[in-house]
Amino acid sequence: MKIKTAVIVFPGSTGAQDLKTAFDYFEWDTDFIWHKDNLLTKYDIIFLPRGLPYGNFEFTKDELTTKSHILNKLPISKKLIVGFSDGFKILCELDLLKGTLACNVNNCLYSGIKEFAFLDNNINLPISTYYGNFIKKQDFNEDVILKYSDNSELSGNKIAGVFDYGNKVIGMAADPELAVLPQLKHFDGRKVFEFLKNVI
Amino acid sequence: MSYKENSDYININLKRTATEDELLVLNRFWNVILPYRYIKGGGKKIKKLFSKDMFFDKNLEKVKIKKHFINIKSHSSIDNQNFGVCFKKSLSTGAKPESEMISTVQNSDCKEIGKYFHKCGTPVTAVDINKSDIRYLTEFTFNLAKQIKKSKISNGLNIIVVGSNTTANEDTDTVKNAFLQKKLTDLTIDAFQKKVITAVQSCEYGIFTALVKLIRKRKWGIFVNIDNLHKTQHDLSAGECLISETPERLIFGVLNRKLVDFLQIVDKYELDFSIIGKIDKSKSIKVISKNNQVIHLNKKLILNPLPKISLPNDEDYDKNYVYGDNITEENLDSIFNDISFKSKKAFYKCFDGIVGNKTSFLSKDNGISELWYPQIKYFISQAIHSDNLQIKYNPYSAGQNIVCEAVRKIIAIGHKPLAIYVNCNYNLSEINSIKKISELRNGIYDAAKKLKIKVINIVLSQSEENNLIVLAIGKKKKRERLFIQYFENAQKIYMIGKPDNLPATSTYQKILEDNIYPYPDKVNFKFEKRLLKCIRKLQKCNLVSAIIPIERFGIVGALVKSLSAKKLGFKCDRHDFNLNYMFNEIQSRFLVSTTKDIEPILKKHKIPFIMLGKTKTADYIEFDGIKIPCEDFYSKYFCF
Repeated sequence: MKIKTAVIVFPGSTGAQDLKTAFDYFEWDTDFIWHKDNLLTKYDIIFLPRGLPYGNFEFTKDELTTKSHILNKLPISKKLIVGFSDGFKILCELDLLKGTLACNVNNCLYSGIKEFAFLDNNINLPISTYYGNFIKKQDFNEDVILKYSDNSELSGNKIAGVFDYGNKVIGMAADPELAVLPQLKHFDGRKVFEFLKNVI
Repeated sequence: MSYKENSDYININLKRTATEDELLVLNRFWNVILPYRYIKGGGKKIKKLFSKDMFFDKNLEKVKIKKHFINIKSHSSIDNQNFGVCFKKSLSTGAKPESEMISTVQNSDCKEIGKYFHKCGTPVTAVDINKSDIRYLTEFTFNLAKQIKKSKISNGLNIIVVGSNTTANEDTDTVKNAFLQKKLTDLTIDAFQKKVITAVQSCEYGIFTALVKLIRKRKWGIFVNIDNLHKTQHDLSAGECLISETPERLIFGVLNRKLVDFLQIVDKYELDFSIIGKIDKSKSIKVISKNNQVIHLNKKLILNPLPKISLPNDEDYDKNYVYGDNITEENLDSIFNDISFKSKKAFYKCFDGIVGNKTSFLSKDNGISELWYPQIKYFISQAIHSDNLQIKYNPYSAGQNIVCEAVRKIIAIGHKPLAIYVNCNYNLSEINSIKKISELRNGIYDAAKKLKIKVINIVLSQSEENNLIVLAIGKKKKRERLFIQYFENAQKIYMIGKPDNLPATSTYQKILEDNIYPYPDKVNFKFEKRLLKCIRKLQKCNLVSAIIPIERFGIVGALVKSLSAKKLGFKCDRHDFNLNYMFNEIQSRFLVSTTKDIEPILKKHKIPFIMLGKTKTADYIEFDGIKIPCEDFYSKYFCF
């Protein structure tokens, strides 16, 4: 059966089309859902793409829930919700993942390919972020599924991706959708999408 | 054409006195948008003589749409608040990630800069490096919207302006709000795919220009009520509104029956808009404000300014003209055959507010800026040097000199020079103009070759006044010591470089004595390279505080600029210095400030030097007992 995905598009989203390109490779159906629309529950996976939602670095939970009605209607624990890069930050701000994405340790934007430990594998994924430093909150009980391989300038605790199995929410600081197409010379992103497929 | 010539011409053609608004918009349009149109058949002739790579300041390129992928030539601007970097026109992308832009960037010396933006093999354009998302997609691109050229003009088409509020004195090269730009792009793609728009134009050269482009062909005209335009200031005149430039505003042509759908899309992206007018068949642009007609210009007048200048024929050259040293009658033909501007399709421009320098630790007015890019761990610098006198007298030497002057600025702040980009404004109607330009070009390339830097591009534009601007780009690794561009108190000031015992002209001398010597000097590259090597050594050994290249207005100019930051004065200890020498504009010299002993190194590198004196807390510069208030230099002689 074909996997149906929804990509929530904010005014500042720039990763939406890249996600669709990756999904086309896997032959998954994709719909773009505007952030003010209603989300239908027919989708298997709901993605929050890369891109600062409103064009500014700092966005709060109030701002997210007021401006983007769709975020109040996410089918938590029913469908898989995945956030890559800034989407990860959105999930943290909404308290769907128990942590905060803070500034990179070196206080600089990082953009490039990094090695990660993903489950039992080492993979190379692109990452472009100012907020790659995940800091756990007190009630953190998610599984860490993605870790920076080195003591990177991004994170103090090496956490780059987490999975809340109970609520079916995944957040990753990297951009695996940019490591799928053969032309892009890096394909390790496919492993991430295969994992997502198995989770649902 | 000057403003007065334009005004007289307009009045004659209109058979009445033109309004202020009419003069304003036409002057801007003719001088900025249509300069090359002054030349009768000039565009083709120049292209034939020079390489096809030569880059003209053209407007929109054509767009071809293929499914969801858009092959475009993009123009990205730069956010000077956040020191973003852009790749200007002729950047084409498509569905394939391996676009020619990547290979161009990879092959150039600026690849370190390009690498930062080259993520996963996909081309990128950065607008704001402080935001986490700095790439653009393979399918869509920033500033795409204004590149869509599929206008179907029809009678009664609504003209809608969408984007930022109109403000006075807006600048086309500044992107203030990258997010707004993105929304405009998305809006245009959305509206285009839903087929609710039939025309779109960018307001990057002003609303008037955008309107003219819309009605350029056939019988169309426009009626505009400028009072409907959304503005920040309500007292803006019609002319000010129409010449206001920004890439953050677009004009759309929308049919009546699609208006509601279009406005829904505009509302979706939460953008400001105003319906300012309609297309008609009048073949003119009519603008009303407060129920008064303020502009009524026939299209023919707008698009065909006179007088046209005829480009001189190849045969029409002055036989008494003295060429540069390496150019003779015999090798002139071979030079023409050999001309190929080695332009690259993508070029790099780092904009730091050339006039209002935002890098605060560097003294302004020196035309140098330096930016730190943590992502690639480099400082990137740019130095601007402009000249309008040298090219008149001896273009070959001028080409050499101006490149060296720009490179000296890069070296002065401790950077390694990488490449140059040249903007040449020349009055092509002058006799021998093309030959002079070819000499200029040779001088530029020779200098670049000897200094081992790349020439990225040479842009030629027709202009009343001859003017050459060189933008040099450099880099520096790590957070090394910064080399400031001003003097501190109680420092020794040395002049190092070419000995100052030769007469040479300077602007000041021309004003005073009307005395013209052969000018400019040829560059002695052997000496130049030795001098630059010595400067680098002084920097590496941490022996100097500030290094100021001497350029226009000679030693005095460099002194005054560098003293002004800390409001210091100077006393020249030498009694053999004539005040005229202080204005001497001989090339290949620096002023260096230090508290240490630099003479051993200067002697080792065989660089002539003179210890001029010391800085002190005073408001004057003293030579041979004569005290001149620093303030006088600013108010009377210099226009810093």
